[in-house]
Amino acid sequence: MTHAVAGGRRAAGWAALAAGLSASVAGVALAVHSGRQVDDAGAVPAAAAVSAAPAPAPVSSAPAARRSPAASVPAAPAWAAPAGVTIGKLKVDAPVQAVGVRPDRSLAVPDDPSRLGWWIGSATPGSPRGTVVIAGHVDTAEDGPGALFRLETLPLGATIEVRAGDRVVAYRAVARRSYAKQRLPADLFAPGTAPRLALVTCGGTFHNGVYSHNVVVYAEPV
Amino acid sequence: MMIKRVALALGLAGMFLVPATAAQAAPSDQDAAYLRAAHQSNLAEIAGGKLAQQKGASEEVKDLGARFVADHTKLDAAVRQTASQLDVDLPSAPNEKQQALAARYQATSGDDFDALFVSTQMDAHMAAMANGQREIARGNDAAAKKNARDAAPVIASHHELLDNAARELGVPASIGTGTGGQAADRTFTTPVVALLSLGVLLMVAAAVLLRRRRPVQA
Repeated sequence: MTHAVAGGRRAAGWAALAAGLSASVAGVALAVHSGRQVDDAGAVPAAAAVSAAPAPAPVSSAPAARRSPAASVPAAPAWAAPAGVTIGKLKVDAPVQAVGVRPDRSLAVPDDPSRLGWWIGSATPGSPRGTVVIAGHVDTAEDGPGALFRLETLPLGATIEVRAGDRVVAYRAVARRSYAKQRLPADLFAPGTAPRLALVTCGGTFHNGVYSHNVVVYAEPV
Repeated sequence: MMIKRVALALGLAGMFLVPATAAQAAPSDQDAAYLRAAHQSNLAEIAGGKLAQQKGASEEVKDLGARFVADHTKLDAAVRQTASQLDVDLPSAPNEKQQALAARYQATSGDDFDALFVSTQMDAHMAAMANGQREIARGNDAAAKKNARDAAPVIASHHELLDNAARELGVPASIGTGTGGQAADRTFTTPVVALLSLGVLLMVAAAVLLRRRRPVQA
């Protein structure tokens, strides 16, 4: 073998080694990145209602107060159940139906992952107190990815709009949490919290047909 | 002189009568609209309440149904009386939306019925409250406005009952939201496997190419 050919082989060899090392490092980096749990982020809105904070929505649950004649009609109380959720950043526009609790105390989330469920015992959008709890399957074996498939990628500060009755209530995402199943915080279901929205889906690892965690995005009224 | 006094007295008396009759003047469009909507809402609540008594899965919902029937029957009696005083014609049945809702109630059963009933009744009572608020703010006729004012606390109490029933039907302990597995955190995704395979392949190639030929020992 001549020196020139040997030199060419060696150059190719080093090039291949460099490329191989780069590819391997990139592969390992990506593996670490993919295996990472969703980042907890942001400050969860206070569970306890802060008495000093004024009710953000301009609604009154009391019957119309006495006003001067030919007055404007006071806004009707915010009693309407959620009918739809829009998340512009994720191109999500999903219908919402009211759901209850099964005998095993799991929330009766709609089977169709493109539909979301609002727990009837939770607050209605625009209420001065309480958490609006809306949940959806991240995906199902039958139908694939659901409306909340990319919920865990939603950046904090993004807008979430909830349609209820005639009005649309806007929220801003302020926190994201990942809770092990059976470890959802009790105040998610408590009445009388500060007004907030909680969107719930699944995440984490997947074994035996179930996910290990619930992913919750908390949002405050804008 | 006497005639003038009598005329004056009659004139003054007449002045006091005018406001009284003005209050019983024809009801405004707003008053009539309020009474019609209130009547339809009461009819719908009575029908819905009866269905809840039959089809409710839980005692809470059956009791709610009974309460709605009782209260809305009373409210409707007052609406009908005011309407007849004011000569306002009332429709004989709930509106289309309300009838469609009744059809949904008929088609649903079991626990699904309870959740559907409670949530849709929250919406319905909000509409009834809004109807009353509008009358109180913009109505003309005193009797119609009084009717709206008297109904408001009853409607508000129903909303509270609905809220309580919703929680009594059960507070969740868990939320299962996924059976597909595609959102799982996975270490060895396709790109990862591809990159690692490529890396290994290239390094094997490198080893082959860089292998030094031992000089042949003579």
